[in-house]
Amino acid sequence: MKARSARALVVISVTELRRRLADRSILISSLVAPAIIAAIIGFSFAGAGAANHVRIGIALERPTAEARAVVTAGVRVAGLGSQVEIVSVRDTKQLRAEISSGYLGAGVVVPGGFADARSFGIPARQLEPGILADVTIGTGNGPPGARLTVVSASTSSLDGQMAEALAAAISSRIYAGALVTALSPGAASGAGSGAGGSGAGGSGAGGSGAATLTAARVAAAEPVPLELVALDIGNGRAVIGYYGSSIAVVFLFIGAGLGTRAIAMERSGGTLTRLAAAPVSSTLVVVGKMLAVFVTAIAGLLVLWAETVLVFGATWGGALGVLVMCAAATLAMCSLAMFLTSLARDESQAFAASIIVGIVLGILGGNFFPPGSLPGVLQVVSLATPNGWALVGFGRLALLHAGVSGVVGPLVVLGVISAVLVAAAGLRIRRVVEL
Amino acid sequence: MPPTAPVLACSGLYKRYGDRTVVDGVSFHIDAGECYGLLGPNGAGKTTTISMACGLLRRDGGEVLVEGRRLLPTSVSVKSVIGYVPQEIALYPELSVQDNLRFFGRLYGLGGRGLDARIGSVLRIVGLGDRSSEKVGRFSGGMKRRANIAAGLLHEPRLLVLDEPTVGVDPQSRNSILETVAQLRDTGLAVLYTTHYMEEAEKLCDRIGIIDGGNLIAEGSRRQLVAQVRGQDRIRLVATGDMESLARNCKRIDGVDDVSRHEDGLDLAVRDGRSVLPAVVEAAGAAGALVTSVEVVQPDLETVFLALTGKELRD
Repeated sequence: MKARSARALVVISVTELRRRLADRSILISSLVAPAIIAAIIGFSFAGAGAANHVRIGIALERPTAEARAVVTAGVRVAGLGSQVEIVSVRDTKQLRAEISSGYLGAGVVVPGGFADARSFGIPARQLEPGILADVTIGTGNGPPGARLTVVSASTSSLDGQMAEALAAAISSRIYAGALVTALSPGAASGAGSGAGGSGAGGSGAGGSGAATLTAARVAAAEPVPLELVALDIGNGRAVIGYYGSSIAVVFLFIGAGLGTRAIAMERSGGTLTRLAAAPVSSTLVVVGKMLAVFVTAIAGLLVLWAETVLVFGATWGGALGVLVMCAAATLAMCSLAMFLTSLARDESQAFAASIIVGIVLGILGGNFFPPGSLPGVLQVVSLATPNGWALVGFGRLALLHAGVSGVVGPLVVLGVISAVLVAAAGLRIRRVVEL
Repeated sequence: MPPTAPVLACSGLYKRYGDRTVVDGVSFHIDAGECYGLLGPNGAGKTTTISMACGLLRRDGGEVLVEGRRLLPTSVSVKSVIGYVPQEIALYPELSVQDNLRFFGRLYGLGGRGLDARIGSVLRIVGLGDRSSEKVGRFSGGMKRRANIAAGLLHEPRLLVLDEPTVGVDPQSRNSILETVAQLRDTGLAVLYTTHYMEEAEKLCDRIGIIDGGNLIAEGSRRQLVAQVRGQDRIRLVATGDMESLARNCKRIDGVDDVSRHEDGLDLAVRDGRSVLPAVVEAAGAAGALVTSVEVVQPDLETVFLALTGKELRD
């Protein structure tokens, strides 16, 4: 880019920002509005209200004392926190009904025999966290292939993921104990004729000895290595981060839409025509304007992030990852807004298009409802939305504690979406500036 | 630039929207120090024509040469020659007029003290020298119009294009704007001026192109345009008495082309009003009519427009 063009680009952007500062619109869109939104999100999810209360049901198909003990142990070791309430229901049918009614967020079905202590030879008194390594698990009567079933409106919803984590904790603990027991000296002789457990145990004991057993004991005492186990649901910080970014992406699009609408208003007001009459290219004019929109939009996003983190202790994830995701999401949203503006005949059309597309994308992308709660087809469609991918990225940062490398996928997708939208808008860029 | 090349030369400009042709083969040129007026009613194609002439609108046909250089919608450097003043107040109301001018000046490559000096100069030209720090949004309509012109003059263009710059302003501001434009023209600036006010075109423009329905239907100086219209002067008589007899007498007068009745008397179409007038008064006496008022109306551009299009300029 020539120096004069670069200078013109800066002049256009800076003047645009000065205008927004002069009419105070930048203070509203980049400071006041995000601050209010952050406060609403913070108070909603960090307070003692029901919003951060997760209720998970457990249906024991054979509710023996041993089965209850297994589940109790699983609940304890899952470490889901005090905001998670575990409710016992009669059977699978009731579980599904309660989930459908909204009373339960999700549930786990424990099939008969799976958690039956006698089927694994587990004495109930030994089923406590920290002593699972001492449990003696037989392999005789356990139904091969029996699985815990997670029931939820969507397994990708927060409730569903919590239920999955609980199920995983239950099963992992049992099998960790089984492994240790199988590795213990003498386990082979006491193990009866079971298939998987005895086979593995026999070979393990035979090949490793005391050192292997010690290592297995240590491993079994470690927290279940599930991603959701790290979810700090107890004080709602990650939830604020998750919903904060979710709402922020919608806010981002609205901000970008309003910014590009201002460009359409300039067209009808005549100033864009005067810019077109100047010795600068139409592309430069539009890019300069969009640069200001980008700065305004990302400033609002960063304010929202900062407030939820500093005031409400939210966890959005690592700062670098969040910054990169913010930039990518803002770029994608600005590109989309620019594309819509390039299609519109005037500012009214641009405004209407921004609102309609914003609502539709918000629904499809999961900003209003978790995408998992949508029908299967729409879940696929949600991955065609930039806000959907932004949420995937922010979700990985907040819930899975991913670093930048963990959000490369969403970044690439957002980059591609931005490039396509900018290219499409570029084809009509003279139309934006032209009379 | 060749010495003889006009500052602006448009040939065969053509523009259509769908099936509707809005500018159809318009050609004209403007020399340095000349003010060319495009006169026509609203919707005649004036703004579309100058938008193509300034490279703001893609044309469907024709060519535009600015100081001999071809102007395309993608042209950038050629645009430095042109100072464009759109019909709308193309300034940011939330910024001061000084900040507006600074912004537009920088887009033309101006900067530093040179730019500040130019801002002061153009604001003085348009009579806003003492209002530079005020926000444009707080200006009156006339002041906004003048500030709008200042933005077009900032980079010292050699062609100033003004699109109906006096629409909606008070008479005082209108006179001020017209005087400013006349002064600029006198300094050697080429001016393209569109208006639907006949008086402005007559007062300001050296040559006038009359445009209607996207066609340039006549072009020339005021005198040349008027000469194209037969009938020329009109005499409006207000009289009482025998109007039939008066009409018959007037028709016999040499130099009277047409006589028509109106509610209070007669309208005469004559070749030279002043030379025919004594004979008309004499004819009234002979008919026994009492003349209470005589008005000689010389033809103007309104007359020309009416004669050429069959409708009034303000239709």
